Amino acid sequence: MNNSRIFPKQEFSYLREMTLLEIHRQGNLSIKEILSLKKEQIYITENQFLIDRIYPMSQTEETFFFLLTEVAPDSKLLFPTVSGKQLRLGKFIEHVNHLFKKAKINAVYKLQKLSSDQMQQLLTLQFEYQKPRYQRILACALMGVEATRPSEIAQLEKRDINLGSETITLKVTKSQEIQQIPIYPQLVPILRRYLSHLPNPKTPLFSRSSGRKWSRKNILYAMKEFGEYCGIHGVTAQRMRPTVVMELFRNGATLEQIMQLTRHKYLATLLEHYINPLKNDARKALEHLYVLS
Amino acid sequence: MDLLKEFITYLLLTENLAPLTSKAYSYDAKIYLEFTKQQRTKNMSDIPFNKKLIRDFAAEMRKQKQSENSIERRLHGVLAFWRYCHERGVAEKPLSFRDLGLRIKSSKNPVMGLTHEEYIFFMEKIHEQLTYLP
Repeated sequence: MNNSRIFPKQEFSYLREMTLLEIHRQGNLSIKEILSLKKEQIYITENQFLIDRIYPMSQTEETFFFLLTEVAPDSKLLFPTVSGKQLRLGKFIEHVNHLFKKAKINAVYKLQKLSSDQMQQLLTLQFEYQKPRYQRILACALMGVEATRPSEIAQLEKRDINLGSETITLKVTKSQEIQQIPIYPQLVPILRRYLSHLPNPKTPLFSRSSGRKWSRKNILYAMKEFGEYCGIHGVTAQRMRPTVVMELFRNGATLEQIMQLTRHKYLATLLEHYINPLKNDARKALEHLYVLS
Repeated sequence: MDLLKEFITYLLLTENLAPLTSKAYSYDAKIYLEFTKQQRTKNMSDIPFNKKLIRDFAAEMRKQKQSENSIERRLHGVLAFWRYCHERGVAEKPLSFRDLGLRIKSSKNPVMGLTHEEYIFFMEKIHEQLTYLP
């Protein structure tokens, strides 16, 4: 499948340039030499510098090499274009100058080594470039553990996430009442990191490039695309809610606990629409009856 | 239509239904009124509620290939509207859903979850990506 929605080109190009500039800054290789490096050269011992630089890697570099395996898995180059081809020097200079302008660096890039301050300034752009992917994955993660409805997640703002009490306040709910759900513990540090990048309490958790809040449809697309990327047929946001309920039930959660999470008023609704599929597990239950054997 | 607006208030306050349900029932009543308007011009009297008419309404929805769940929901809306009209003294005593004698094959579980294996794999992939985020 086309991975460009899951792994945006802009993010890949930004991380590639940042990794490349850092290697150039710290070592003796020219940009031209770095551009023509091949993946296999990471492991060549005579190229001591690269080995030293890549282990341990910074978060930016680590992410770039992860994306490299997803975006251009068949390319032999270490810093290819998104299509896996050789990145031209002119294009690279042009892109770095574009980043300079965005990061408000008053200089023209002419293949010089960057200062630490300039690198730091360029790093301030990182969240902006990574946000499209980050928010999609975070939305999928929330859907995957919180048993929420797509519209409830789409409308969240920074102020709706309370990391102190580890709760999420849902304002747009089916019952049109404000409701609270606990945050899955493993998501707390992830949300803390994410929220630190959002400027003010009213900032939407998930937004389009125009700054407008996501709609329910954006959540549906994000789930569908991520499901396709995983190679699982028919993953939808709607299927995630019953999935989480079934997983909780199988793991021993009580119906009362599940009702609190799904925010159902009546147990009958939960049983009728969510727990019902577990009837298929009747055969499995019989298999655990160790008699007549 | 004032009647329908009053109907929403009745559903909210008297029947204590949720706002969205009240709105949906009101829409069902509107559709039903439009349907009976067409019927009345042909061969029906002015009484908009009776068993045959509601059964015809259900048949019409089936003809339009509406899902059984939608039909069931819409009929509940119509019956609520009938109850409301009866309380206002403009309709006869309403029938219950069972009295309509309709067979609704509703699917009780329209959305099936992922299998345990699919879910675990999906969440592992999410976890993998979350580790690389700033």
